[in-house]
Parts: sequence; C-alpha cells; structure tokens
Amino acid sequence: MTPAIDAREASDEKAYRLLPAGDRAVTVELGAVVDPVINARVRALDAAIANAALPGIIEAIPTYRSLQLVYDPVRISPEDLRDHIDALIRDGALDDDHAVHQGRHWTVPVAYGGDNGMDLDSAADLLGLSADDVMDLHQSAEFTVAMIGFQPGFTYLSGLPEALHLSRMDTPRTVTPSGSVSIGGIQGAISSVVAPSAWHLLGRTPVRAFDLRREDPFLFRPGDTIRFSRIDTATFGELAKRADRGEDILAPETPPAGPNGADA
Amino acid sequence: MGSTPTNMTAGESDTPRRRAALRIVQAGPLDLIQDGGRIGFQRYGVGPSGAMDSRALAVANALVGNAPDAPAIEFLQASSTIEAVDGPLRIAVAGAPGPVDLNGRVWESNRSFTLAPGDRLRAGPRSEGQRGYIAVAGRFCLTPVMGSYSTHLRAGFGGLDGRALAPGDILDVSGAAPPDGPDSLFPDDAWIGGRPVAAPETATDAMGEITSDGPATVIRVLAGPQDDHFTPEAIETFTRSVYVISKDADRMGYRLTGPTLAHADGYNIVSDAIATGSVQVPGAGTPIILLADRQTTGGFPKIATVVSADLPRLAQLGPGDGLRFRFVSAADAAKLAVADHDWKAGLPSHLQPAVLRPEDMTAEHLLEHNLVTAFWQPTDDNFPFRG
Repeated sequence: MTPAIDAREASDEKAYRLLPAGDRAVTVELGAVVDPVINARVRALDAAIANAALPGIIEAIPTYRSLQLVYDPVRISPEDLRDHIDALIRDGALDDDHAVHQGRHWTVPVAYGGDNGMDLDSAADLLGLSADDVMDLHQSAEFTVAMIGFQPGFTYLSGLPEALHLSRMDTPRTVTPSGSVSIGGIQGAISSVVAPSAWHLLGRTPVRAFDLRREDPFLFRPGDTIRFSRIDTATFGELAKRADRGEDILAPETPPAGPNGADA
Repeated sequence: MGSTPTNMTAGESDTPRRRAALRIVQAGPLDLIQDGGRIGFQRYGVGPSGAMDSRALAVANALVGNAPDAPAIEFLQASSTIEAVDGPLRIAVAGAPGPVDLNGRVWESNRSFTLAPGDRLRAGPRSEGQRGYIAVAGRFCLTPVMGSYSTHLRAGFGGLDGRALAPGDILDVSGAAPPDGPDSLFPDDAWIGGRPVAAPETATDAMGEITSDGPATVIRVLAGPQDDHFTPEAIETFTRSVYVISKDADRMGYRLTGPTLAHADGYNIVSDAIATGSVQVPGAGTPIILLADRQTTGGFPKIATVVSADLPRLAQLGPGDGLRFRFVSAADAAKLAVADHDWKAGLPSHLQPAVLRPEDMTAEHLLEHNLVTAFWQPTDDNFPFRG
C-alpha cells in the first residue's frame, strides 16, 4: 500500500534519472515527491513516448512521479532505449504543453460514514474535526487523478486539502469493499476491487472504476479531475443496483476541449 | 465475465474428430489457465499474470505443436485429474519433474500423451520443483480478457471465470491437430532450464557470520531501481546471505526470511511501478520478491530486480528453499534475456518422437525395451526409431 509521504515544492529543474528495473523495464524518475508539476510531466512524457512509437516498447506505466517503460530486450538494447529517452526529453517531451490527455471532469457520488465509510468518525477524531467538517472538506476539493495502480482501476487522487492529511492506519485491513473512497497521507483514493488497505475509509461510491462489462473497463484516466458529492444510503442502494446491472451511472461532465482533447 | 467455455465458431468447424474437450475429474491444489501474460494494462493497475515458469510453458506447448506463449494449465505440485471427452486429445506435461499417471500407469513428464475419450491423466506430486504445465494441442475455447487468457485470481477474470479449475469443469478444445503421428518427448528436459543450481559457497552475513552452509540457488539480479535507498552494508548483506523462501510465497510474491536490510533514509517512497522480479524491502527489512500476480505499483524501495532469465528458476523454488542473490551487469542481463528467447525459439528442433504411445504400453513392450520401472527412458539401445 502507498505509504504516507511529505508534500514538497516542485523543483524548477526538469531533472530526471533512468533507473533500471531488471532487464525488461526502465523507470524514468522525474521526481521523488507528490507534486502536480512532476505528475503533469509524467503524463507529458507518457504521451511523447506513445507518439514516438519507439521500437520494442511494450508498456508504459505512469505513476505520481515516474514513468516505467517495459521493453523487449530482444528488440532494443538498454543503451539504445536510454538514448531514445534522452533525445525525446531534450526535444521537450517533459514540457507541460506537450500533447497531454486533456482531463475530463467527474462528479463522483459518495455515501459517507456508517457501513459505507467506517472510518469517518475515527478519522474526524484524529484530525480534530467533526464528521461534517470532514465531509465538507472532502467535497470542497478538486482532485486530480494522479495515477491508476495497485489493483485494476484503483484510482489515486492528488489535491487532498491539508486539513485532511492523516497518516495511514498502523494495521491495514485485509479486506475493504470495492468502491471505497478513502484518504491516506496526503492522498485520496477510489478503490475498484476488494483489496487490503491501511487508508481511512470515509465513504463508498456505487460507481465502478473498473467494470469488464464496459467497452472501456476503466472509467478514470490520469489527468482527469474529480469532485465528490454526498448521496444518502437510499440513493447509494439505487445507484448500486443499476451499476450491478451494468448500467453506466456516471458520465464525464465536460467533453474534452481543444485539439488535444481526444483520449489516447 | 466472458470467460466461460464456448462452442466453436463457424469458421473453425473442421471435421468432428478435431473437436474434443477436457473434463476436470478431481481438482489439484491450484490449477490455473495461464499464458504468456497480459500485456499493456499495467497503466490501469492490471498486472501481467501469466505463467510463472515461461520456459516450462514453452516446452509444454512445443510438445503439442502450439506457440510458446499459448494458454496452458499451470499446476502447483500436482495437477487435477483430467479426462478426455468427446474426442482424442494430445496433451503434454512439462516443468517440474514427477510422475504422470495415465489410466493407472506411470510415465515421466516432459512428453506428450495421446488420450482417447475416457482416458484419464494426472501429474502426480513433483519430485522437485513447484510448478508444471499441461498443454493441449489446439486451442482452449475460452474468451481472452484484455488480450490474454491468463487467470487474474484476485480480480477474478481471465482463464476459466477468473478462478482455479474445479471438478466438473469442461474445457472445450478446438482446432486440435489430428493426433496421428507419434507423441513427442523433450530429451534435454525443460527442467534443465529451471533446475535450481546449488551455490557452493558457505553463506555468511555482513559481519562474516555463517548464516547457512546448505545449498542455495543462485538468483541473478540487476541493482535498482532504488538500490540507492539502502546502506552499503545492506547491499553487502543482500548478496552475501542466504535467504529462505517463507510459507508466505505464492504467485503474487515470495516473502523471504534472512538477514534484514537497513534503509538509508526511511522505507517510504512515493509509489512507482513494480517490475516482475523486483525485490521490495518494507520497513521490517526482509525482502519480498514480487512476481506474476503482484500489485502494479507500490511504495517500498526495491533494492534489485531478478533478471528475467532466472524467473523460471525462481518459479520452481518454494517454501523452505534457500537462495542467494548475485548482481550482474545490465549488459550481461540483456545477453541472458536474448539467450532465453533463442532457447524458446529453438525448442521444436529438440523434440524427439516418443515411439511408445500409451496404447503400445503392453507387458511385451516393457520387456522388449527393458522398461521394468515403466518409465520411458530413451537411450541409443531402446530407441529403435532414432534417425
């Protein structure tokens, strides 16, 4: 699980390191901290690598602060791959205005507290806030999808208000429900499958970030923005039933704008 | 979701004899459909899954004329009992060595068998190693999920309904090559590719204390991606110690026991992607090797990554087995990967006909070929059709 981390200011330098991850992957590390500028550079590099269609690249895995490239060592040597990456970055692949996926915006319904968010009260206590304050703060923020990882469709969110920063629990739960909306450290998350977690569960959404019945099983993309909106348990139940039947219960609010708006 | 056995589509309706099915009579400990892995969806949190021992998968597939990465049944220690129904099937068993029971007679692994309807086959407990593969000539009638037939157990998709095979399951097979010619065997034995190699050295820890003098399998690793998060002493300990695979070892990863490794500057990093074979070191300091069913990202430093050519060997180690890490250069690791690829590509040319088919397995044959143990042991003397 993702540990608690410190937010630090982004460096203006576009420094990067190429870190070997075995003989089939290299991690392009753009920073060591959670930072929106670094995260945007990761997405820019991801798009630039996809556009360049480098030989032998099998997968690209964007995260908060790095991009891992999985490659076929039979088709490209690690030296050649490094040269390609260096050249792309020299040519501006980290520039923020590079062809980046124009994020869509979502308003995600959440049933807070109770069985749906069993840590709401304890998290409020730890933060010195009321449960209402926690819900208000959580709904006030505009989150950005920083990465999808850990489990299929598991959505990591940056933009958690500072008043909600809270260390993870010492003892992870071995099972948490799918659709859990949680906070941990300086991050937020929407879970997608039943999974262990040490994060504080504030609520649950009936929206399925991962559903194989959809043509596109993955709802969110890095760069999308998300706000949460409170629903009551009755509404949760109705929406959950529809989602069970495979209905789409959530659509993005603003269609992508501009020439770079098309989803990759 | 979409993974149930289906009937053949119209385009594949060959002669009736080319269609058959495989029925699970009795379940093994963990029989999973796995192929070369699910590629391209780690960016959405979907790990690759796939066969743990890709070399053994390639051998099983070669023995029945399939592509190296085609889906097969991966079994742990012993397989299900499977029965051919509706038609003949050619089935190969490869990987960790051990007996194969066909209708009550015992054979060796690393060969194919031709099953008539009603014949039953089971790979018994492995004599060494952990995992074997059962490939079937033709194609399982399953629906790929995100381009792969591999079973993703935790998320419950791929393979057969995203789960282990169970009694009563029926796997339809289409496009099976007519099982006319003789069965094949792999004389060089795929297991050579995966056999644990004992390290001759006595193991000591960073202080020069002997931690083990038993045999330990050498597993080659590349440093990184976060080797700079560890003290020099930790790097030294990592390569000089014998680590033992704990009971907490499955397709997701192997938790090791052994000397702890000190982090240079805390054990939390901002999550990044995890490669297959990466050795992550959580706060407690004992390493975990992350494997096919791992999470795609994680927040602990990874001291090193197992070279891909040694993953099959690692896949055949299990709880209680010792291992020793040895660093290699990126250039050497790349050479090993290319050699591994070439080895798989060259497999078909190493196959030999196994002239004794199960139906030939009579007492006369056994005497004639001096197979008193009922094992088929090809030598120049008892291999009359060589050349």
